[in-house]
Amino acid sequence: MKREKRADIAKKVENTLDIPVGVLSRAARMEVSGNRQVLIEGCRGIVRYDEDQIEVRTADGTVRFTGREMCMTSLNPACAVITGRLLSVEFL
Amino acid sequence: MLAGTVRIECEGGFPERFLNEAAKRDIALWDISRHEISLFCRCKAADYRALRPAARAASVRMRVKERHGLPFLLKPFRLRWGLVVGMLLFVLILQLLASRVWIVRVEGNERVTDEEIREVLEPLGVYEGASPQKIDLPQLQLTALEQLSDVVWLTVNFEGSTATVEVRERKEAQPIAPDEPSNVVATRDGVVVRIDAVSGQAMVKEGDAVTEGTLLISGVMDSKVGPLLKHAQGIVTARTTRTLTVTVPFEEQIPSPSPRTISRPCFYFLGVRVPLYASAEVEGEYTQKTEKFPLTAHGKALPVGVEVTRLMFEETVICTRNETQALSEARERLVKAVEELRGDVTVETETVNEQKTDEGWVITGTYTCLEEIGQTRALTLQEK
Repeated sequence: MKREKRADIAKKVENTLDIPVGVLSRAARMEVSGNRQVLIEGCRGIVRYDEDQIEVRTADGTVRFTGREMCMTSLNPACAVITGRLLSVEFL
Repeated sequence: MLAGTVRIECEGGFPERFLNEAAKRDIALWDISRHEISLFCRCKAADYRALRPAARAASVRMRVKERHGLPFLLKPFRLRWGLVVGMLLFVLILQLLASRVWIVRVEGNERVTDEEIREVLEPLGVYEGASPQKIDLPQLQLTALEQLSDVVWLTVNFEGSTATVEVRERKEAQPIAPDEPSNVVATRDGVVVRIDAVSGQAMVKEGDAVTEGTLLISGVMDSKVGPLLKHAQGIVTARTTRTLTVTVPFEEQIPSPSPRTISRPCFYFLGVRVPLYASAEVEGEYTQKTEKFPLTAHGKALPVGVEVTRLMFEETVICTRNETQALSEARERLVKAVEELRGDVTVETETVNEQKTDEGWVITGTYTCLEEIGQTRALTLQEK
């Protein structure tokens, strides 16, 4: 509960002061390059890993990437990189 | 590539959990792909062992599918220690040889020979096989210049394995230019018989006694406008006295070469000499001569080869003369000496004194000569 409250306060401060989202609230940052690659900063773990679907856990919840020939080209505590032919991104 | 990488196949259990556990342990994975129930990924070879707890936690069975990198390339040679020792030796020998002087080159010398310079520099540490780091260049320059009187400047430059010795020789005294102010001075003691001053002012006259160094013709001439400096020239003939002494003993030891010689070959490599002869002390007087036969590459002598030292023995022959023979020999020698003297001077009178001692005959000849004693010397001026 405390953590959620802290996140809410951080989001409000960001909105009020017009600071980019994620600077204070530790939100996951995703960089999508076309439909071929996604770079996720703040990845907290893999929920599901299949050839056509990868689900990753972030601070804001689980994100599902659907596509074909999906492959995680890099995974380390700082970031994860997913490549393949992306069809959709869903926030669960 | 240097650290080595492995491609792993993970089967069964919870592959997603395996990935999370790996990330939790700060182990980087890449090229993660899923094929049916198997998960493939790559990691550093050194991290493979650290992945085992992650695999256990996720109930995954890990299997190495591919190995890449230097550690796996070298693995087959692990048991061939000879090869490794050989490689290490190769590197060590290469390092050792590269740090040594292979060629010593002498440049800038004309009168002083290469051998003379090398002989002086060898005890100071400049020779084939020497280590350039051990050479104290300022000390070397001082010592070498002391020993090589005809060299005024010397340095040693090391470039790779070549030591270049650069020298500058002492310049010979230049003849005095015809327009340069000069004096004519006496070269020996005597009495002036005739003086012809072509240029300059005569300072002595006929009949004057002079000693060595006396000013005969001065280049400084007085005039109304003050002293004038000229190039003094002239011929000064003087009567001088010369003494020749010849001694011939009744018994004389004369060294003569003997047919006996000994050759001592030696293999040398970078300053290390390996004798190829049985060591034995040699008795008797001898002179030795050393010749080097180096291996050559592209016309350049390498510090590897054979050195042959030849010991040439000398015999001492005792020559015995009776009184008549000794006197005759002494007279002959004196005649030869006088003939040599007559080439330079005109002998006017001579007085010969023959004296017999216990050892032999001593003949002393005193000669009154007429000779040219004038020598031109540059006039040096000192500012007040």
